[in-house]
Amino acid sequence: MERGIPERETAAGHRLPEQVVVVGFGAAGTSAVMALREAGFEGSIVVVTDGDPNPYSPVLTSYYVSGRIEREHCFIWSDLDLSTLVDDMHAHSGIVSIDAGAHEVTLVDGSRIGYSKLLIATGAHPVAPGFPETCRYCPLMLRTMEDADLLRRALLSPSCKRVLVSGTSMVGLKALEACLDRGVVVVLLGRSRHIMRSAARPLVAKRFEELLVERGVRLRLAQSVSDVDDETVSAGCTVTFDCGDSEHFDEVILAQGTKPNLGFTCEGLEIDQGLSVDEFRRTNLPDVYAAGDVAQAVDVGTGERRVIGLWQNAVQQGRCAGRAMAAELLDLANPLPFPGSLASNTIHVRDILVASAGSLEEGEGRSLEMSKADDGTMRVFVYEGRGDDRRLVGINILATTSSKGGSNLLDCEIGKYRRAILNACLK
Amino acid sequence: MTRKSLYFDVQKCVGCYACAVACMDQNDTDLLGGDLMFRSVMHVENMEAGEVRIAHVSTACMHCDNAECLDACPSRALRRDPESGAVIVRRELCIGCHACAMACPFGIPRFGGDGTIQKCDGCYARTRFGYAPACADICPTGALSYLDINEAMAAKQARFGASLV
Ligand SMILES: Cc1cc2nc3c(=O)[nH]c(=O)nc-3n(C[C@H](O)[C@H](O)[C@H](O)COP(=O)(O)OP(=O)(O)OC[C@H]3O[C@@H](n4cnc5c(N)ncnc54)[C@H](O)[C@@H]3O)c2cc1C
Ligand code: SF4
Ligand code: SF4
Ligand code: SF4
Repeated sequence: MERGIPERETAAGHRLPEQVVVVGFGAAGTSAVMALREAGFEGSIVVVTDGDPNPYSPVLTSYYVSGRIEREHCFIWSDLDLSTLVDDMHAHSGIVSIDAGAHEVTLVDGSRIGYSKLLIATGAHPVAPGFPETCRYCPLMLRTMEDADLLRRALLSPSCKRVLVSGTSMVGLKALEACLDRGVVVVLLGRSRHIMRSAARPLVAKRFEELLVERGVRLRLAQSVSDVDDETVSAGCTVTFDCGDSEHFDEVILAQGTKPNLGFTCEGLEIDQGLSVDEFRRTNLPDVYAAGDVAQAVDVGTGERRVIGLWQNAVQQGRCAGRAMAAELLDLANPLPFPGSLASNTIHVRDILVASAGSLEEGEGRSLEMSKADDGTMRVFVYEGRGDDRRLVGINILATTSSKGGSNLLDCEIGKYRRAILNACLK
Repeated sequence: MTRKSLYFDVQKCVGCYACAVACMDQNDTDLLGGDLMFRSVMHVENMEAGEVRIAHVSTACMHCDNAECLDACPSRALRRDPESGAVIVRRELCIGCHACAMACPFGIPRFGGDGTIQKCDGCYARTRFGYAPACADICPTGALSYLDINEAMAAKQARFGASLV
C-alpha cells in the first residue's frame, strides 16, 4: 500500500487508501476522472493505461488514415491538460490482476496499487474470426493510433492498389471510406446478405449497397474467406472465398467486430460478453466499477444486457461511474442512475448518410412503415403494439447529403425520433 | 450575479423574423453559399374551441444543461464555453459524423455545404463583453430576452400578476 495517501475505513472495518484507480484512459476513463473531480473528489486518482497519457478518440482514426485530419487532431483532450486531474499516471503499462478482497491491482511490472474504488475502462480490441492465424501476411485492423499509423502507411504506399475490407459495420465502412479517399480499389466483404446487419433494415441496406457500388465499391456479400495464400505472391496475399473465387489484394483490413479488453485475472468477477454492471456501473464485486466498451449493461431499446460499443455510451457510462464513486467516497446523496443507452448510429460514407436508433427487428406485435421521398430519402419506422398502444421502437433513415436538403431533413428528424423511442422505452 | 440565458415568450412573438435576420447578420450567414440559418421562426396554427389560434415560435439551440450533443461528439468540436455556458462550435474540428444531430432532441445541428456543423453559439463573442445576443438585442416585442434567472422569474411573476387583475 502506498505511503502518504490518507486512508478511510469501510463499513466492514477495512482501512483502504482514499484513492481511485482508473484502468484505461479512453472515452470512459477520462469522463470518469473529470466527473470525479467535478463532484469534488480531491483524493488521489491513479490512472493505469496501456496507451499514451494523452488519450485519443478511436472514432477519428479513420479520418486520420484518409488524410482528412492531422494525427494530432485525434488527441481531442490535448487542450485540457488532463494530467492536472491525475495524481499518478502509469502510461504504457497495464494491470495483470485484481485482488478485490485486498483492494489491490497488480501492474505488468509487478508493482501493486491499493484502491478504495476501482474503475475498469479498458475498451475493446478488434477480433479476426475466419482469418488464418498461421498466415505470414499480417492483416490490418483499426482501433488504436498504432493501428491507424500502420494502415495509413500501407494505403500511402504506391504499391497499394487493391484492398479487401472484411466487415460491413461501422468500423468496416469507415475503413472503406478511408480507402476510397486514398484512391485505392476496394472490395467489401460481408458474411450476411446485406451490409450493416444490426444497424439497417434490409431495404435500407440494399439501397446503401447500390449507392456504394455507384461510388466504385465492389461488394462480396454472403461470402467469407476460405483460404489465404501468401506463399506464392511477393506482396499482399491471394484470398480465396467460399464461393470458389480467388483475388489478389495488396492489403486486407479486418473489421469483424470487437471483444472487451479483459486481459487480467480477477477472482469472482462476473464476465459475460463484458463486465456486467448495474445502473451505477458497479460490477458484482464491491468497489469495482466498469464503463464503456468493456461493460455490459442494459440496452434500453430491448431491455437486454449487452455491450454497446459507442462513443456516447462510453462517455455517459464513464461519467456515471465517476459520479457514483465520488458519491460513495464523499458520502454524498446517490447521483441519478444511468438506466442504459439506446443503440443509435449515424454512418456517413462519402455523401451517403444512414442513421438508425432503437430496435430494428421485426417480430410478433411489430409493424413497419416505409417511405421513399422524391429526393431518394428512405425512412423505415418500426412500431410495437396496436391502436392507442402503438409506440415507435426503431427508426432507420437513409439520405444523401448531395440531394437537395436530404441530410438536413434527416438531421432535423433523427434526434426527435431517438428521443421519442428513448422516452417510450424508459416509461 | 447569476449567469444570463436566452428566454423566449411565445405570447409576445409576432413572427416578424427580425431575430433570424439579426442572427444572419451577426454570423455573416451566406445562404446562397450554402450556409444555414441558426435561428428559425415558425408559424403554428391550432384549432382551439372552434377557433384558429396562431402562434409564432422562434427557436435555436437551447444550450441545454444536460447537452447530449456534447457527449455524442467524438472530436470535441462541440464544447461548453466556461464563461457563458453556451454550447459552442469549433467547426475546424468537426468531422461531419452527424452524431450530434442524433443526440439533439430539438433538431438543431445542421450541416453546411462543407459537411461540418452549423449552429447557434449563443453569441458568446458578444455576451462575454456584456452585450446581449444579436437576436435578443433586436427583438422589438421583448419575446426574446437575455436575462438572469431572477430577472426571468420576476418577468414571469409580473405577467401572472397582471393576468389576475
Ligand atoms: C474506426 C472506429 C470508428 C468508430 N466510429 C464510431 C462512431 O462513428 N460512433 C460511435 O459512437 N462510436 C464509434 N466507434 C467506437 C468508439 O470509439 C468506442 O465505443 C469508444 O471509444 C469506447 O470508449 P472506451 O473508453 O470504452 O474505450 P477506448 O476509447 O478504446 O479506451 C480504452 C482505453 O483502455 C486502454 N487499455 C486497453 N487495455 C488495457 C489494459 N489491459 N490495461 C490498461 N489500459 C488498457 C487503452 O489504451 C485506452 O486508453 C468507433 C471505433 C473505431 C475504432
Ligand atoms: S444542439 Fe441540441 S442538445 Fe445540444 S445544446 Fe443545442 S439544443 Fe441542446
Ligand atoms: S458532426 Fe461534428 S459537431 Fe457533430 S458530433 Fe460529429 S464531429 Fe461533433
Ligand atoms: S444567440 Fe446569436 S447565434 Fe444564437 S440565434 Fe441568437 S443571434 Fe443567432
